[in-house]
Amino acid sequence: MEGYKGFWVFIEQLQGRISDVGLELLAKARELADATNTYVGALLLGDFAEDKAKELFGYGADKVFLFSHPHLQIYHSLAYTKLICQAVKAEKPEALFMGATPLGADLAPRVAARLETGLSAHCVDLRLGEDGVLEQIVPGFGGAMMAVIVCPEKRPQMATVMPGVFPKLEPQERQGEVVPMEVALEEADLKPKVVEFKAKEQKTVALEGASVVICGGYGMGSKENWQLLEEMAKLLGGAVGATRPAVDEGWAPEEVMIGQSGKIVHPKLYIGAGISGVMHHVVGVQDSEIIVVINKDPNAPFFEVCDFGVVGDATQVLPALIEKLKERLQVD
Amino acid sequence: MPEAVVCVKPIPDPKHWDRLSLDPKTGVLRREGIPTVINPLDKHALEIALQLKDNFGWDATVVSMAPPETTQTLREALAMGADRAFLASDRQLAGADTLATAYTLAGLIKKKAPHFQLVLCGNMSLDGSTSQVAPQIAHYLGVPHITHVSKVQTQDGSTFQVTMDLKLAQLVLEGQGPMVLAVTKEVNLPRLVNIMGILAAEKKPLEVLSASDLDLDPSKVGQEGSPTRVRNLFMPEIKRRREILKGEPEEVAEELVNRLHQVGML
Amino acid sequence: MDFKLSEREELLRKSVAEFAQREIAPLVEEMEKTGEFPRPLIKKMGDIGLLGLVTSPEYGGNGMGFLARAIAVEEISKVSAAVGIALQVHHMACWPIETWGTEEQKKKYLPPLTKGDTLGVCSITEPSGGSDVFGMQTTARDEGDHWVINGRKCFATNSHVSDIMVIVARTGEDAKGRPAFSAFIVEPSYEGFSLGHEENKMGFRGAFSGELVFQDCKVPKENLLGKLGEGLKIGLATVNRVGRPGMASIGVGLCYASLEEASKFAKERVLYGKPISNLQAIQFLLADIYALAEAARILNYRANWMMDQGLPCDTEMTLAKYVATENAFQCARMACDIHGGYSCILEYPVQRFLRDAWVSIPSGGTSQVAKVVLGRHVVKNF
Repeated sequence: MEGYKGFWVFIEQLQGRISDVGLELLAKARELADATNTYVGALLLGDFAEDKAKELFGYGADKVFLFSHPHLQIYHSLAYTKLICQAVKAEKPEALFMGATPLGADLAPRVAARLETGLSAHCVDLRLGEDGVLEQIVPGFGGAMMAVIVCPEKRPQMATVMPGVFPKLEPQERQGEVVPMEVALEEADLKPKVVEFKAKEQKTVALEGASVVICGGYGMGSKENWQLLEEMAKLLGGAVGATRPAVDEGWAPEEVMIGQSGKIVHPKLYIGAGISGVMHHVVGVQDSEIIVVINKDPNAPFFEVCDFGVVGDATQVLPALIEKLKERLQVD
Repeated sequence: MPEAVVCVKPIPDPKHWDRLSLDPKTGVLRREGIPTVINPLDKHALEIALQLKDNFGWDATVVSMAPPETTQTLREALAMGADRAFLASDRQLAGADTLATAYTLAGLIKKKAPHFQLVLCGNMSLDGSTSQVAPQIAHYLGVPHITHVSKVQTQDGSTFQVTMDLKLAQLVLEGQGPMVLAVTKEVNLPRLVNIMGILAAEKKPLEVLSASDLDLDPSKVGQEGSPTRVRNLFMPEIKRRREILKGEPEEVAEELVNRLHQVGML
Repeated sequence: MDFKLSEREELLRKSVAEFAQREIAPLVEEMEKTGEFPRPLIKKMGDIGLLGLVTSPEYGGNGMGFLARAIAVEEISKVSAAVGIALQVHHMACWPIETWGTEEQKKKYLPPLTKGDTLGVCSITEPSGGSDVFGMQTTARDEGDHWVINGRKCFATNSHVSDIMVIVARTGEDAKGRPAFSAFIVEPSYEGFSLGHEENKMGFRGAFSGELVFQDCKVPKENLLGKLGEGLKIGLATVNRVGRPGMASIGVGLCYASLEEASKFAKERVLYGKPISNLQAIQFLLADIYALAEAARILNYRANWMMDQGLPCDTEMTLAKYVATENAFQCARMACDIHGGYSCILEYPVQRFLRDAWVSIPSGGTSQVAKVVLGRHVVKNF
């Protein structure tokens, strides 16, 4: 549409640390901007010096709109909405992307409503249609259906995008412009007031409704090794489940047994360790979005129905996995 | 009495989503024979309202925008204990995206429950999974919103401590109504419907309103008022990836973490 | 004719199904192992209104009626037929108390029964036989200011979780010299009452079936239920109009439980590269289960609807009971066929449906007893 230029990305930060999803979206925005001869804009809100903003050039940003103020260190929906909408109205970007994180999902709809523009949620892909309109690929019905969403008549075209779907760029030597933005806030913009900010406690959750399930089988070998599952579950904010043989060995209580006569789970991520995959267990986990199987027997039937299979002894793979996850999630 | 408004969305029963299909000719979603249920998270929102009713004497009002045959789902909300229900139902409202839906629901709330203290929503509907409607309702009502709410506490029924779950952190916010809260399943365990409730619900008011009852701008409702369009639908081939990783534990662990990140699991 | 359930009944079905999933499903495995009824469930069933389905609001019930009860017992039995029979026999205590009880009896006994303080018992069967009512040995002797009961009742559902029991005992002879019977309300705290042997059953595991032992048991005068000599009428009406449709509802629940498990398994089980649900041999079995289930349900709903309308329905109730429990066994058997070897593994519930269906057949009168009633009806009316 006439007069609208640039692909913008909202850069999410938590206590001054920039999350990956913003950088991933910069890479996608870069690709879309190059294809249409326009620029990539980044919105950085927080309590930052210019140096931090400049880091974003390497990930694909041409312009960084920097809103720096102590009040912006912690997320306030109304304050963030106000500042972002002011910038959008002044600069008229073609599109604005945010991460489909809790923060992004809280902020983006409010921004879209104030701008009276369209927003698609939890996109798993973005592409340009033949007519130059942005096509946003959105899963519905838990992934049973996919929809191609467009916003033909309003600008900016807005989308929240699932973390992880686009790889971020390796930082390059690139130049760009930091645009310092005025931050004028009123008391009403900071309501409801934040009374506490706490890093989330790492803990396991109940099996029912858990979005991550780490399940152990007979191949875990001992009650001592079972601790590895607990540690994994804590790390991922998930729950530990067990197969019947593991319960029979006394490694786990009966309440966490998964399968035909136990609980049926449907997490986003299921990891089965030391489980061969007999039918009465598999029926309890088959609705999981992603199934990971770790088993030393390469012929275990569970590998037939997995997304990612690791051939190896679970008691050796899990410690390595825990280390790598800690690195990735930056947990000590 | 302070009033809590609960937004309820009837959705096709998630237990039967394997029966969803696309009409091969028109590309339209077919959901015949699949029963309609209350979006599960909305029951958690209703439970908050019912606890405010039990503990502080609040009124609990349910609102929805849906086809007229969904009144039985609202009757269920009444059977759980809500006092009254309003359903905006009109061909003119059909085909609404989240923005038009939020505009319509906000209009319904302004008309029927203008003095609300809280508007409570499920954090997302399981079918569309957008999580967008609650903040947008808040925009149209001109009040603050908090989404991803995993805990609501109040001593006096007027000041609320609300925990918002970010992925790696939690914010505890404190505020008073009017405001909009969108809750996750961690917030409570919704009560079951009891038989006395079913009988009582038959005597409770359930009003169906048309678009013209609501003082809405016709250019902002339904498909007409929706900035987004569905260009097309398709059913993804759901197949397990069956990628087998072999090697030393460190190598496969690294590889697996990369794959999990790529598919959005970390 | 209107075969559509009302919004009220549909909502009832959904709510009871949710209750059963949330509150009963997690208990089933333990019930199967121990054979014990989960006592905390009684209060929960009371809170949700299940215990007051056939009791008027003035005595603490909700009076939704017999069709509603059929739906509720069916949904409960889909998850646990043992809880289904506990519930239905409980109703067999509530109904005669409301129908024949004095105002004092109704006020005293119905509120605790409907609230969930206790489950009711209704017991006629004795070691000497159930259907041969004239062979009943238990006697009640008039001692002026109280009754003294001697004898034994067996297979009494809810025996070990009940504080309020309706029983029938012999109280002499009528004018023609035939044995006369009367009904009584007995509390287990009465002097001379004790609980006897508790059966270890192959099915309905988790529902108590025990002996009630009366040794010079002193029962207050005012606990005679109905008039002197009305015991047989009360007992038989309760069995015919409450017990049989209750068993029928359990049978219907088992039919649908088998249908759902069989269909689920057939779609999940892959042989020769395809789910076995693609095979006609399996589809024929599924079709038969479906046909038997639907037929049983419709017969049962009709009989209960007639009861709600106040129409005579003893024959229809017997027919529904006979068909539903026999069909339940057939359906479970075919569901087991579809499961093949897996039907022998306790992880899969179809083996439980088979055992429960078997036990449902003699409960409330064997199929042969039912056929005596139905055969007589045919000879007389066609």
